[in-house]
Amino acid sequence: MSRRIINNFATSVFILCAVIMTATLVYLLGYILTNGLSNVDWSFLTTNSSSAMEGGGIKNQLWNSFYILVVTLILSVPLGVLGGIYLAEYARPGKLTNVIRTSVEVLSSLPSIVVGMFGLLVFVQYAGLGYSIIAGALALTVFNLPIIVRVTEDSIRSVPKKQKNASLALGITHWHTVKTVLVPAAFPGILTGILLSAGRIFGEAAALLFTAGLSTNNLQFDTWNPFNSDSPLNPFRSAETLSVHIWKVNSQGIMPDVDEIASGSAAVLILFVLVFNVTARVIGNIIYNKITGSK
Amino acid sequence: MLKVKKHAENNYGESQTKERTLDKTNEPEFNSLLDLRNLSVYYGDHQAVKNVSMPIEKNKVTAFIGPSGCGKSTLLRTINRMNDQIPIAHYDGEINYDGVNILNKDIDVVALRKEIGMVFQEPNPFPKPIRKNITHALKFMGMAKSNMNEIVENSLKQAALWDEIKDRLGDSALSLSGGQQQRLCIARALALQPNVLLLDEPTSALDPISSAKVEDLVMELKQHYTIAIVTHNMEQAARISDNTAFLYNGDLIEFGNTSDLFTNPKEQRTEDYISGKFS
Repeated sequence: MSRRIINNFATSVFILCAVIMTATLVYLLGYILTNGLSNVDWSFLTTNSSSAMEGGGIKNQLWNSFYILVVTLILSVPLGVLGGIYLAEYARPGKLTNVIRTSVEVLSSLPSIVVGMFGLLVFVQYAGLGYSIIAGALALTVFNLPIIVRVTEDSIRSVPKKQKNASLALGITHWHTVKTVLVPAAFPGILTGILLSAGRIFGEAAALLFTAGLSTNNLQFDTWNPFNSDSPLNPFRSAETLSVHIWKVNSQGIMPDVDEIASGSAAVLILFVLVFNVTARVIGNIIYNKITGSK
Repeated sequence: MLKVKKHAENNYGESQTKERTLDKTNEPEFNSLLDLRNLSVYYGDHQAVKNVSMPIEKNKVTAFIGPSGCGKSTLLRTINRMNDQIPIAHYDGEINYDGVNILNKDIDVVALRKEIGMVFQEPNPFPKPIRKNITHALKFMGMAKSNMNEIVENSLKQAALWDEIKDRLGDSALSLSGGQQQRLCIARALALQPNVLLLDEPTSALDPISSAKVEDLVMELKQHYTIAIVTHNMEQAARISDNTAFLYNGDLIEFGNTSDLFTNPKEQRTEDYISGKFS
């Protein structure tokens, strides 16, 4: 009898925890979206922000967020994936490998504000990049690299050992086995990891405050020469991203529609992160099916 | 033989020739392709194979039997150097393959494994289309695409799989039954035209009907290939092998003609094992 009570009790505890967790998430999402979406329309997405007047939009901030995201991925994906492959396949167990793995773990648990200060010191000041997209992307790379290394290593390790043995026993070199057997099998996992981390980068604010800056030039969306200071593509201009914009508007905004702008931006931000996550799963599945020839 | 031989000659000179020092058997009429000489395999401090000397005869089936953990799989995996995967594994002694010691550090293991193919206990096709499973290694070797169709067809025919799957070569190999997967793995190894085929308990994960098909296949293949098979199943060893080696605790207890070994074992432990007194 008592065993049954304990069993029922344990089951209820688990259900309760799941309900609390889901309810919190649903409430947060619902709150942000219901409050925010009413302020979002096409002109909100395509108008420049204004510092004092009513009716500012988020055009430049949205663009900056995407641009920094792309630059960050270009910097961190190749490094992170190759590093992950190294740790999973080439690193021999030993002191050096442990040091590398511990460093990666420490790096991934650094608070993002610390990464921001580090970026300010090293990229903005010491390297002389100033408040710029490239400095922001480098700081985000510090922040993103360990995640990609981790995801890649885990995905490669989770490919069944027998697959690797099969390939090696056919007289295929280690490198070719990594390239044609392990990486394709691990690809959906790696891709999911990259897209999930993209969501985090997209929403990151603290690491960008001191690296990408709080202001944006008056971008001319018909000037695509990356060396022009008003060009959207210029990586050396300062760039306020969407999440930084939310923080700034909330803490320093003097325009009358501060709340509307903040909640509208938050809704847009959340929507894009959701899109990243859903795309991650869909694309991962499609590619896996294509590689394996299963339907 | 190509690369394997070249490397060893560089290292040893041509003076090293085949000599027969088979202490346990001492029967010069063995027409061996592989000679194991005082072979010991260690995992760290643990000695998994102890000073084993025996021949593996050309175009015959050699079975390795013995209880779990007796070192038979380790021994098999040493022959194509798959144990190199394990960082703490190391060897003593020699395995002579056509006059070359394949345990030599300078051997090109990639070239070696093309000549000494291996099929594993659990079917392990790549999660790719059936055809790509076979062309995977061919592509790596740089074979022209025009030759591949023929090899795919021939090796699937040799593995007695062609008629069952010829219409769905583009399907995932994972959609095949376990027995078909295992025969695909054999076909995949055959496509490289190896001299030796190592089978590590190839039927232990299969149902009886699939097992019988794989056994028939092995009997068929020995005309063209030298086969070494590890098995838990003594009936299987008796049915399909020409020679049998009984290992216990890493020691080679007895080696000989299969029918002799099963009907008239010289060692008490062999008799106890094949009569089922221990396993």
